[in-house]
Amino acid sequence: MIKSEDARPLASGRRSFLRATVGTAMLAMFVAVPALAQEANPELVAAAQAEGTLTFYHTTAIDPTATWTAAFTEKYGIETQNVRGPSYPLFDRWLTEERVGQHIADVIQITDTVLIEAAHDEGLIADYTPASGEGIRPEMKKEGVWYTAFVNAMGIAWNTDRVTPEEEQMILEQGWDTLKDLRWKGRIATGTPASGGSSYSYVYMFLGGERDTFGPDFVKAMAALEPQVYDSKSPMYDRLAAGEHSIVDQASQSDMGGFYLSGAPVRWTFPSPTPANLTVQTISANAPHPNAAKLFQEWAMSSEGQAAWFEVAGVLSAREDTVDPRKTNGTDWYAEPWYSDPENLYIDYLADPGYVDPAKPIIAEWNTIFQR
Amino acid sequence: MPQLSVKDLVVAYGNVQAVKGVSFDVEEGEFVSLLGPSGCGKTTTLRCIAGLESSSAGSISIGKDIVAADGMDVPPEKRGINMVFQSYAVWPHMSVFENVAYGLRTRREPSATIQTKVDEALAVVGLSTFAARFGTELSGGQQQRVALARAIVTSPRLLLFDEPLSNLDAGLRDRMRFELVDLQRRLGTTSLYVTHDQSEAMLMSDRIILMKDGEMVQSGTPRDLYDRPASRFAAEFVGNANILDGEIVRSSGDSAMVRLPGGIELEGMFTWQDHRQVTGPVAACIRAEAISPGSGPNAMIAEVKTVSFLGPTVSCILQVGHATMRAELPARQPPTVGEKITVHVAPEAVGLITR
Amino acid sequence: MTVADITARPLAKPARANGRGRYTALSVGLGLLLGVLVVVPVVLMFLGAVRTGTFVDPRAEFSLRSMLAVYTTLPYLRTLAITVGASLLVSAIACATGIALAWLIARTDLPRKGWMENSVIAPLYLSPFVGALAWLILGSPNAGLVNVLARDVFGMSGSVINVMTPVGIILIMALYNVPYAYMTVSSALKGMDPSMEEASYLNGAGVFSTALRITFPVVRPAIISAFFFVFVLTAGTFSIPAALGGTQSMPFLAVDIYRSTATYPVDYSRAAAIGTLLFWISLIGVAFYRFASRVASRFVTVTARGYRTRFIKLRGWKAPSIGIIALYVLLAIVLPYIALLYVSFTSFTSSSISAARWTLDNFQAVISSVSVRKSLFNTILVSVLAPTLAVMLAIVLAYSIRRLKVLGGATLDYVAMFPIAVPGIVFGTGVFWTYLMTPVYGSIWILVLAFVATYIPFAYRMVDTSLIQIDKSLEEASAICGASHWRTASQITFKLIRPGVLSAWILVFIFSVREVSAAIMLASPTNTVLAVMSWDYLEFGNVQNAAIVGLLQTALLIAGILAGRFVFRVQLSQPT
Repeated sequence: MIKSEDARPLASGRRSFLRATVGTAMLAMFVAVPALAQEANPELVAAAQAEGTLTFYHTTAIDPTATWTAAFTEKYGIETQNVRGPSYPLFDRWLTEERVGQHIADVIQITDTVLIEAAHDEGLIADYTPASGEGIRPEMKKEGVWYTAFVNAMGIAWNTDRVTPEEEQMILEQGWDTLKDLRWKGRIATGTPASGGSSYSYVYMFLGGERDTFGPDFVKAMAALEPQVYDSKSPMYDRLAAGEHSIVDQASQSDMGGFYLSGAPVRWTFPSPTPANLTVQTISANAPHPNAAKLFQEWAMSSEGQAAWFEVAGVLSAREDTVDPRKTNGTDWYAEPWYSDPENLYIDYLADPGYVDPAKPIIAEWNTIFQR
Repeated sequence: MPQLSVKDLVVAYGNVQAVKGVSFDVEEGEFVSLLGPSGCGKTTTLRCIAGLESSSAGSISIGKDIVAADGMDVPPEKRGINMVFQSYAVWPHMSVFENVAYGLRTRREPSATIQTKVDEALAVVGLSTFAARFGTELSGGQQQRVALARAIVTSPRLLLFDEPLSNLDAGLRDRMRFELVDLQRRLGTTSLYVTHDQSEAMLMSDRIILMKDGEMVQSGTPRDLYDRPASRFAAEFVGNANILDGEIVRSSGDSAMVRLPGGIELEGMFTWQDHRQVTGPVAACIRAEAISPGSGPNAMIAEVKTVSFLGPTVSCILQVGHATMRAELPARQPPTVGEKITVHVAPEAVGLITR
Repeated sequence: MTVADITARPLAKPARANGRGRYTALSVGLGLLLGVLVVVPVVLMFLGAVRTGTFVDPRAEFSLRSMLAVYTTLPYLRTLAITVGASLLVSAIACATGIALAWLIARTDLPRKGWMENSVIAPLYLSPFVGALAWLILGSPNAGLVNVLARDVFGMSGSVINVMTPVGIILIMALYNVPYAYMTVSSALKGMDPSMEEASYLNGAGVFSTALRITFPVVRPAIISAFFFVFVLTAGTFSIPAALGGTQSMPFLAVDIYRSTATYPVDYSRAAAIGTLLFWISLIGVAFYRFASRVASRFVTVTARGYRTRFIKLRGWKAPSIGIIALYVLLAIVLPYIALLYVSFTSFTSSSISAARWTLDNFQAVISSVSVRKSLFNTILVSVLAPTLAVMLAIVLAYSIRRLKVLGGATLDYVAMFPIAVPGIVFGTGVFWTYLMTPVYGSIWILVLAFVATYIPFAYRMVDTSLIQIDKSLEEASAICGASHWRTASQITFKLIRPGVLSAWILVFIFSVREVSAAIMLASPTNTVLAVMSWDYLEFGNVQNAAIVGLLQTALLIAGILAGRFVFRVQLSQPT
């Protein structure tokens, strides 16, 4: 799996990191991961290899995902066909395809567990419990249905060329309250909660779960800064790195880390509580390659699969036993004085009635506040 | 003072000279044609006079104004002339009235004047009832009249015609020729007319300028050109004469005895004094209608090869010695094919051309 | 069959008694084909607008909710007004620029005409949204390279240009539509009888007076048709306004459609309802376009023997004229490509060129990427198949309607022009539902079918125009020489319309390589094309890769155009 560098292209700049950390990553895995013994069932491997290919509908960024699945291909010789789509439309399309019997996808990834459970009720989700799923933290899976591939913590990021050191100090001290500061008027950008599960989870903390602490007044104060609102977050991060915006919220480590490694003048912080979103995977009930799907799920949930993700992105594993080797070694941003890990992850909202409501009233409220 | 004066006009495109030093004048009220085969430079000359083409050398003056000299040109809109185009160039987005009024409006004439002048011009070309129609709703002949009205309404110092009748069908063309001449005579507008049709030029012009390969070949009245061609080309192009190559046997002033291949000898007259020679090759030019049946001066025995009936005459191809010639003989007692007949031609009708 | 027979009933009428029956079959066949290709997707769009969910959603029911919301509530009507207004402005600006450029290049003594003409149509070789991306990099208010340079080098404050405003979006959309206006007007100018203008000069009108009072009025049908063509195209464009800040910069119906299909709650019903609204607007535009094309054929006048046009001497105006063209080339080509190359070769989009990190990694990564190679192959496949099939269908249609005069020709003619009125993203949804339950779904063929249907209007119109221009007597001459119907068609007609057919092929080829709206809706693992790759990179990956894939598209387009020019001697516009 280490040869992924040759097998698949990497996002720019991450190569240097790879070369530096490949050795330590391997070391860390063998040392820190006793669960590596849990190799997949050889019969399953054989059946999966007979199928030979796998179609993966995903919502994570294109190149990191390609690198990640290339590690799987490298190990088992099973090609993956990756289809990237915005989370809601992609899931919707999969639903439509399943309903008319166009079975194309094997494994589906989504950032919104609510939708998966609705599809499960409709009988479109395969019940499969990967052996490696045992190691996933209990709040990050629904046994037999979905399992978390990655945990995405979201904070505030800024461009050091556009923000003075005093302002930076202020951001680090004020935490979320800085998002209400009038100095950011015209300098701030954000993403709509309608774009996908992670943004939705992020906004849910402010308008839902932690409404008593933040609530509409907080969001209104932020809206008063007239942020540029993005329908998709990747372009927002790019514009932050370019300096179009001084500061953005919903900054995830997987994306900011990439910009950091490419030399962009970005820094980020995780104020408390830090909203985290789960990117989960499930297997289609009518997967055309059911065994490959199962094997992929086994691999993705294993410490090996989880560690492979750290090569490209991530802050926190869904497994207790997997840690980002850069953190262990204190390299990259882990060595920066301004960086600190999220301390108080906000993750226990998955069963909130407000969160699972398919009408998603939070989005409507946010739209009203932002006049969209 | 001539109304139009062209001096040593040269038009060159790169290394190719389309017009090679043409000079001529057109007097006030005169109707002059530039005649020649396609590619002879007549249209280029006309377009230069119009200002649509740049001259490379020479000068053009219209009235008192020099409009082109030493490669500097006055733009067409400032020359005070007008032109009738081969393609009519009736503007499709304007009514007939507006087409004709265009030049007057450009000059910002008062609208009452415009109304009067356009009405007059339309009346002259017989289109009074069509004023409100659009150009494209008219027939070709009507469009040509619109173009004519548009050109005369501005009372131009000089009216140019660029083969205006060549897109019309034969019957209409004949009628329009007479109308055009009649109109020009009535209005007295100085006109320069380009055509490749010699009968058109003969019929309409006061004077014809014959061109070939960018040069003037001959200039004169239609009668002059017909009767006294100054070159083989002029003789052939105007009136399609029989040209017989021969050798001068003896010469006395204006006349000479010519021996044709096959030994037949004919007496003829030199068309121009400067053609006079005492020996050497010569072309004898005989108009088909100058050949008469029966004996007389220059009598020849001819074998009839073909006979075509033309109505008042028959057109025959005759074999005389080694030469063939076309003759128009009376239709009343036509010869028959293969018959040997005697024909003659008056020495005045045998034009001798030495170039 | 005698000669008299043929001359008495030239061409169109079938000579045999059973001929009528054969043409009826042809007419029905074409009707069915267009029905499936074009009508079914449009009908499904309308049906989708009156359902609460997708067609296969078990909970969905019929409802006028979306239609009522879209047709009667203020936000949508306001957006509609802005969309129409902005599209009219875009069209006006694009046409004014296109007309000015066409006139300068066709009528004046500017040097290097061929080079200039190629420059003017070059923006066609860039996907509009990649162009918009380039302009975002150049002209965003804070980090736009132009603004940063102006601040750093010239000490200006604030922003010189801001593309994330209504003015910016309108100007960028206009910029990328200039080639359409240019090509239409330019070919009309080149086809115009030069003596029309000469007659005006001789009637005392000067150069500018003649241009305004004669030249432009005479080519007015072409101008009107270009205007409404650009209008319809613009009203259905979502990628440029979406890339330049979306609704926040300027409300636009097509962006609303995209947002309805891309953000929660995903509401295809609302998307379809907005689509129907756009459909009516576009239909009005198409009606004008058709009207103008019809008028154009009435404007055909006797053409003179091809006398060389006298080029107007610009003299003192030459420098400013070259300046105008240079400015256009700078804005439409030079700056955008500099921006795209800049981001392609730097590790992140830095607003400060001195601080940029130059690298070849992006390029190597994209070029060696398996999925990019696969999508390059798919793009080539689609962009060869779609124009070929579209042009073939167009020839059959045009020949059947014009020459064979099949039953219901007028209806076929109208239906073939239909897709122009449907925004790509809505049409894509219609195509999605049309083929969802067929084996075509998810394959490369669904893209081919979608593109053929989307671009049949262009191919058909161009082939039809060439067919009209062929004098029937040329065909009659062949028939009189004893050639059969088929022989006349293949030996005379099709040979004569070849230039038009090849131009149509090239145009549809360009569209097929660039098309993104419908392709996004139909993308699957096996049929991803470069345009979709680029869009996906922009939305979910990184701008660097989006730019590189955009440049790859340009390279492919230029390769195709060059192949066309040198192998088939085809040109997009007539030579001067």
